[in-house]
Amino acid sequence: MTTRDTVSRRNFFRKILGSALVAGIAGKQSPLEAIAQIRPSAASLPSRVLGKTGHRVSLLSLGGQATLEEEGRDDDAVAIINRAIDLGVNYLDTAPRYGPSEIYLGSVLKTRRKEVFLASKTHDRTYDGSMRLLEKSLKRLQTDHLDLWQLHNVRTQDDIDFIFAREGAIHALEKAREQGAVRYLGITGHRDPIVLRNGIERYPFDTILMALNAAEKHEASFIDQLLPAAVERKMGIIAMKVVARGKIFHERGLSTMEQAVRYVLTLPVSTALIGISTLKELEENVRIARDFRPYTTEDMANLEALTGSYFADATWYKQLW
Amino acid sequence: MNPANPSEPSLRTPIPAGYYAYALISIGSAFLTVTDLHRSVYSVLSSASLPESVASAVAGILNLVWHEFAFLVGSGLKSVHIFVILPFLSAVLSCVSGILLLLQKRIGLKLVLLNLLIGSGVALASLTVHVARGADDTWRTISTSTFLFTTLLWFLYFRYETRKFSSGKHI
Repeated sequence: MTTRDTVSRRNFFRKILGSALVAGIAGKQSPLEAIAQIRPSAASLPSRVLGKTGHRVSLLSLGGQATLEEEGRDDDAVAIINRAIDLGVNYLDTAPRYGPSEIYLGSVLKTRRKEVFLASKTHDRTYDGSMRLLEKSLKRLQTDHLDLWQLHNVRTQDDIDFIFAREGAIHALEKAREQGAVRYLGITGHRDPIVLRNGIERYPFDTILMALNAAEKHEASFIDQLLPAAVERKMGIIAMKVVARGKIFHERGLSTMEQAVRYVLTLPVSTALIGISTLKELEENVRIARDFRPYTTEDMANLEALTGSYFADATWYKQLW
Repeated sequence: MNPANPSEPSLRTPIPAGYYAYALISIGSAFLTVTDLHRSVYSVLSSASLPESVASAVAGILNLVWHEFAFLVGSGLKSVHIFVILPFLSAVLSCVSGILLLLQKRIGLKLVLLNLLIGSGVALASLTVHVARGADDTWRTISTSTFLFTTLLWFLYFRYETRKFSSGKHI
């Protein structure tokens, strides 16, 4: 253990005890009760800079899918969100299209908003429709602003043309930023890297959310056709489809979560966005992110080669939506 | 007979209240649509604490939904030109028909019928596209339906007026 570790740990306990005593002196609870309510330090999960936004985001982010998009899972969803923040996850992603995800997040964020970088999206391609979605998102998330507002699932050149037309959604994004309802603007997609590249060539978005995994190397590759352009523009890069809803795993291919997550985190991304089904899964992913060490170039090539026989299945998201 | 142009018959004076109402909505909505000030009306409706369903219905009745139609029809036909141009075309037609109606030109009445016919067709097409995509935007569903319903009522009203005019009861 280094001197630095010792000092920071000592400071950490001082802070906890100090807060506990203040709470105790305030008279509402005993110092021990206050200690029990203090959440674990959020600094324990490694972080990276989210491109030109300058924000530091945890290597692992919480996606608004899986349990968070299922109706009637209030308790599980709230437990996952709270636990994720407790463990140091500070980037939360959602969208109006993800069922009750925004509502679940809102029920936690009404008291924990300052602890996270909050991202949502608009799937509408018009100004008016996007503004309506933003208003609803803010209401459901119980906040007065988003940190990041993104164009959701940009798939085709038509999408780009509509978004950038006179009454297109891009003007809603700009207006919302001007009004302070959102801080940064982003674009997302998992179907066609060329379309997204056209998007970032056309507008200086702050971030991009794209599909990245080991199977991506084989055809219409986001890794080869989009990632370098995003890096060049110093964008915040958020990876999705890290496990492609489980399709990245195969008996002759990738077999562990650690392989899937480490592969993506070795790429020049700011954070990996993963939907969570259970607390156990969340804790396992946090452990992987916490222990992260980059793969060598050779390791990366080996993992890519392993997905060669089933990459079409693993990249199902390019065909379906 | 129209004293200024004896070959063109004029409508009866005084002008029926319905004509004034229609002309006001047509000319007003054309102006608001072209200048994007329709959003100020949306804001007023929102700040009036009306339920979304009522606010969107009012937008439909006031003819302030042409940008929605332009998107639905334009994206349905994969034409960004329709998305850009349709609100302007509708504004021009609404404005001209409204003015000619107020000027008591017979052609104004025909133009109004044409405008209403086009409006119903476009609204129906928009609604079809919207429903086919899952109708996940309540504002669009209600405003488009209300517009369609109102336009059909206006059409019946002006059709009745045209018949009266043709049978000579109006002159």
